[in-house]
Amino acid sequence: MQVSITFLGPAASFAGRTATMFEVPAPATVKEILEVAANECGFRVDPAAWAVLLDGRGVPPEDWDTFTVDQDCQLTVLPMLAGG
Amino acid sequence: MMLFRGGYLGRALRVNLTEEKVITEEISPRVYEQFLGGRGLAAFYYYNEIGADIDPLSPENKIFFFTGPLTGVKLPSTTKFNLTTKSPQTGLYLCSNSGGNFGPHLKFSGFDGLIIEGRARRPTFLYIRDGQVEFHSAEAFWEEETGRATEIIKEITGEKRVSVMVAGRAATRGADIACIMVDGRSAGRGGAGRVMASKNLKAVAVLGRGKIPLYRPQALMEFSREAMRKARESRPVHTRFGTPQYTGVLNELGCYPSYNFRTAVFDGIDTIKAEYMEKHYKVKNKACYSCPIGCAQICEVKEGPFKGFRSDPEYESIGTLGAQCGVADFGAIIAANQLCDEYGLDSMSAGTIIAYAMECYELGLFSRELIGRELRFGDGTAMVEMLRDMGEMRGFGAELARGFKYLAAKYPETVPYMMQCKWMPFAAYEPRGFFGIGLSYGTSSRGACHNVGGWTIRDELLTGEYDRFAVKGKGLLVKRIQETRAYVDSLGICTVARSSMGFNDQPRGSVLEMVTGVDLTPQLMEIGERIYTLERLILVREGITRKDDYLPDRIMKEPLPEGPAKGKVLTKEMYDEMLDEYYAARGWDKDGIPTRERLHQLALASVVKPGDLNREGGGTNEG
Repeated sequence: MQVSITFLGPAASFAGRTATMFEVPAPATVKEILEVAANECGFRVDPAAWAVLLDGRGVPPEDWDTFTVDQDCQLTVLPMLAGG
Repeated sequence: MMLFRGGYLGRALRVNLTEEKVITEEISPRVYEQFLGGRGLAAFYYYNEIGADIDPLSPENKIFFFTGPLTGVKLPSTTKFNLTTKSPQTGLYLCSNSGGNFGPHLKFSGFDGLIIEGRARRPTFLYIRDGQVEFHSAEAFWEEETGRATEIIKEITGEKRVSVMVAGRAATRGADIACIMVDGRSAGRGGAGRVMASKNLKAVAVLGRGKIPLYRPQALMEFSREAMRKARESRPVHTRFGTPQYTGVLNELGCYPSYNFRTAVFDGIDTIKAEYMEKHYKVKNKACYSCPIGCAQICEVKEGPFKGFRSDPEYESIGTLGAQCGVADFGAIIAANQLCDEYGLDSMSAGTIIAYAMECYELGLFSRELIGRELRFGDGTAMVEMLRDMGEMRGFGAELARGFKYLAAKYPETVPYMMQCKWMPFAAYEPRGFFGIGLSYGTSSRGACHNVGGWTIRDELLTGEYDRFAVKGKGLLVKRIQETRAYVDSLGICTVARSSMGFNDQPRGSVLEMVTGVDLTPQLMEIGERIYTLERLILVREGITRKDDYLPDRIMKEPLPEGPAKGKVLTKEMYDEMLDEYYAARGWDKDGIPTRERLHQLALASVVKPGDLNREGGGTNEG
């Protein structure tokens, strides 16, 4: 399946790009997808510091290794919001 | 009654400026048990000592400064203290917290709190040195800006390490939106600086060299090492970009209020977002007491009309002085932010009020003659000059610096353009982009505020449990976040680092027990609810009911014109649904008044004065 990732706001500075796209075998967990992204970009998405939206909806870090994706998707990586 | 063996000092200093009299008074362990510290303790004192009829600028108003059990303890970001007073900006209860070193030093001096009352006969500053209070004349520097006044106080006291809490020229000249600066940070909202100045009090300096008792110091040291590491590693974005990190993100989400909330996508975003700030303006980081994150981003303008200005703008200042005023020149934002700090103005109120004035000017409601200059959206120079006028309290700037309550009385036709609730200007989050934020603004205990009212963005966006454009569940969400924030503000810690110690909406861990000898952790959310309910009782006593919890028509009638939230509007019907859910969850009646039953459940019935119990709207849950 095809995964496209958008690095939102400061995530783009850490990833060195605003977006990337790659293929991963389906199904894959969010954690597995993020590991592929880490190899692509040299940017590890640490669950303590970063948040993920899958097709616009939040996936909490504790669900990253169980939440499975089986079709083309859009991931957004953004900072773990910590208060105003 | 619980026996606390650490964290607390057990006493407060009460300083009567009129009589130059200082009293040390004990604080009952029962009060700590019920209200924890900081914001909670201050609300308790306010409830008991500040009646509804007291004028905010009279000697009868008081300022309550309270630390929490963790303030000053060697843990991540234990920098916070709370101040509470009656606000001249809103005419209502005000709580405000600040970083810096003041809170820790107050505790090192042997006190959990400081209560200021009365009015000094001459301009004064207080110096609290290891528990001894000295009254000094501030006549020679009464009108000095905050930075210079701090330097002078350090020269007078001969102590570079002294922490100084100071009011600026805006306060001494009568600005109702004047803040208090504390070692470069601020207790920003609501006009506490004006209250200080009304007491002829320019500053309070404190230097303490004592120790805070700790119940299990060895275990705490080990815990602290790990918590410091966790805080540092979980907040790399805060270290690199600070709170400005949210600027680009919220704009992408269509939730970045611009041009006085006429839109939520800013066309000048590229030159005000954090990445641009880092590349062109950032000089270094700055950290508060015991903070491993150092989120303050010191920026300097190196060229152009604002060359030489230097300040550390937060997300809110960038939003209000930048996008809200249509200003895309980051140099102008740095300059305006520095002026706010030096004059001692709340940058959030100042920016939102200037944006309102810009809209009124463009609509022809304010003339060029009245304002004294052109004041159009996008004009950074005009924005900075207007801020200068506000800080100096001259011309039309002197009117704007009085805040929305004053402006509404003088220019009633402009009220629809005031983005406020209970006369407190909105923060830089768009309620039509995150509906929960609307309820936060409406039900915050100090008027429109995303912190006290509950910062719902994370939960609405990241947990997957909420649709940010839906109303269902938001009442419960806002209640939960408000209670979390109420106890966090009472512990004396910064919200950015709190998770490293287990302080979220399901508090866990044993750090509180290690410090105090009593494990209040399981009760923290209930304590938060007790504090929030007491704050509402205060507001009800001051005349607030449901009618005051609504948002301006712009939010409830005008759909957003563009961006990811295009077409969204938070109608009165939607808002009422959230408000009903919220009141029901809180055990308040349909008019927003806490019921007798809930007061009993929260062990507040014994605290509340009989006359206030009678204010209940029917006294039942039936509404």
